[in-house]
Amino acid sequence: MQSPHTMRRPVPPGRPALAVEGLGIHFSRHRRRALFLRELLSRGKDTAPDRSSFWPLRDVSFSVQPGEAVGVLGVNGSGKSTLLRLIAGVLLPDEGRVEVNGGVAPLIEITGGFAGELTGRENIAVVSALHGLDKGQLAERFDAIVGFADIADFLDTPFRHYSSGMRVRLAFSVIAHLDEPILLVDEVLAVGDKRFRARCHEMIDALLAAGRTLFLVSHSEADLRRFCTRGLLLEKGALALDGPIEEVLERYLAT
Amino acid sequence: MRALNDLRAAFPVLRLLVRRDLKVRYADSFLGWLWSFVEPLSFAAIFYVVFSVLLDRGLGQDPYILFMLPALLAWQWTAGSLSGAAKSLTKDKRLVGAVRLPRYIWPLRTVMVKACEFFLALPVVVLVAALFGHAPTPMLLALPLAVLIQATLLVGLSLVLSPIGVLVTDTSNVLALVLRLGFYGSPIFWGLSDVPERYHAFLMINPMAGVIDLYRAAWFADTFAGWAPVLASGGAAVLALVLGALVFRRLERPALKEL
Repeated sequence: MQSPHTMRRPVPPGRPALAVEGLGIHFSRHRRRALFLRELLSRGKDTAPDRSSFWPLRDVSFSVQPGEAVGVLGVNGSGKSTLLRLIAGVLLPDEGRVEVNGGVAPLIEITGGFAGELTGRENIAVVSALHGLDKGQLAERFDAIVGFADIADFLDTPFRHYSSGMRVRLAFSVIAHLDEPILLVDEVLAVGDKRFRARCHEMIDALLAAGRTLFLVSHSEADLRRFCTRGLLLEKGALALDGPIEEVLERYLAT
Repeated sequence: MRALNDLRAAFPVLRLLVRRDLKVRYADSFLGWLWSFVEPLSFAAIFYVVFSVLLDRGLGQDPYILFMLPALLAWQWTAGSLSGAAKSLTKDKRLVGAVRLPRYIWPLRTVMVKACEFFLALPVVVLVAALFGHAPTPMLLALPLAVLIQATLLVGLSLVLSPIGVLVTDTSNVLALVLRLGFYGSPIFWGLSDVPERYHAFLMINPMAGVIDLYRAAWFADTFAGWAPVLASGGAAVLALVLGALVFRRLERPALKEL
C-alpha cells in the first residue's frame, strides 16, 4: 500500500517503471454470502474447491521500462481490465505481486471521484487532491485543466448539470494533468466527440514525449498503432504474447 | 508502524473528503449546518413531551432536555458512523476503484464526518444549559476522555463493518435492528442511576453505556454511576480497535473484488 506522498516519486534510475511477477487473482463463482465466513476463517488462502473459483488472471509476468508505451490486447473477458486495476492498486492480487516505481495516474472510472452536488471548480480541487496534488501544484495548472476540458463557462455550475461529454472531458483533463510517471488508460478514448478525441491524442503524445510511461487498454487498432511500441496479448487470463506492437496486433487480429 | 505512517500521509486526503462530505450535505440546503442540531433538538423535544409532560416520568433529572441531549447527540454519532461505515465502500465504489489510497480511510471518513456533526451540535447543549441556568460539574473535564473512548470504539467497529457490508448484503438491515435495540438499551432517555445496581453489569455489555454516562456526568453530578462502566467501555473500545484492524486486513481483499 503506497501513501499519497510516496506516489509522486519519479521512477528511480535503472529500475523498471513497472514489474509484474506471477500475478494472479481469483474470483468466486458463488454468490457472495457463501464467501464471507470462508474468507474470514481461511487466512486469505484459497481453500475453496477448484470448481468454485476461477482465475481471470494468472501467472502473468512482465516488466515495463520508464518511457515505454505498452498496449494491452485481448478479447472481452481475457483479463485486460483486471490487470489494469491490479496495477492501479484498486484490486489486491491473490498470487504474485505488482511493483510500481513511482505513481500511477489511473484513467479508469475517471468520473468516479466527482460529486454531482459540487461545482466544477470544487470538484477539480477535490479530485486532484485525492490523486495527490497539493494546493500550489493545482493553482499552477488550474487554467490548463479548465482550458483543456473547455468548461470555463460552467466552472461554478454543479457537476450534475454537466453533459456526459463535459464530465468525461473534465475528468480526463484533471487526471492527465497529474504528475504521475505512469499513465493507465482504459478505453476512455472511446468516449467523447471527434474533436475531443483528437485533443486527447495530442495530450497523450505530449505526455509520452515528456517521458511518461503509458499502459493502454484498447480495442482500437489505430490508437494502439499510434501510441504503442510494445504489445501484451492476454488470452484467458494468461499472457500469450509479449512483443512489438505490430507482431502482437497481427496475432490478435488472426484469432 | 507502517500503518501509522500511511495514516499520516493519508490524513490530508481524509480531511478533504470530510470537508467535501460536509459541503455536499449542506451545499443545497437552506438551513445549512443548522441541521446538525435542529434534528437532535426536535428529537429531544419529542422525548421531553412524551416522558416529561405526558407520562410524568420518574426518569432522569431536571432539566430533562439537558439530561437527554448530550446522550442523544453521542448516540447519533455512533448510529450515523456505524450505518455509514457498513455502506462506506459500496456507496463510493467508483471512487474506491479509482484512487490508490489506503482503503481504511473510507470507514474512517464516515466516523469523522459524524464526529464533526457531533461537535457542531455541542454548542446547543451549552445553549440549553444556559437557558435553564444550569451549571456544569467538574466532570466536564472528562469530556475529552469520553470522546476518545467513543472515537476508538467507532473506528474499530467501522473497520469491522465496512468490508462485511460489502460481502454480506444483509448487513445494513441487521445493523439497523441492532442500532434500534441499542438506542433503547443505552442510557439515553433514562440514566444508569435509574436502574438497580444489580443490572449494571448486564447493561455494561453495551459499550456505549459507560461513554454516555460520562458525557452526562458533565452536567449532572449525581447521575454518574462510577468509573466501572467507563472502564468497561474503554476496554471494549480497545478490543474493537484490535478486532477492526484484524478483520479489515483479512477482508479487504475479497471485499474489493465484490465492489
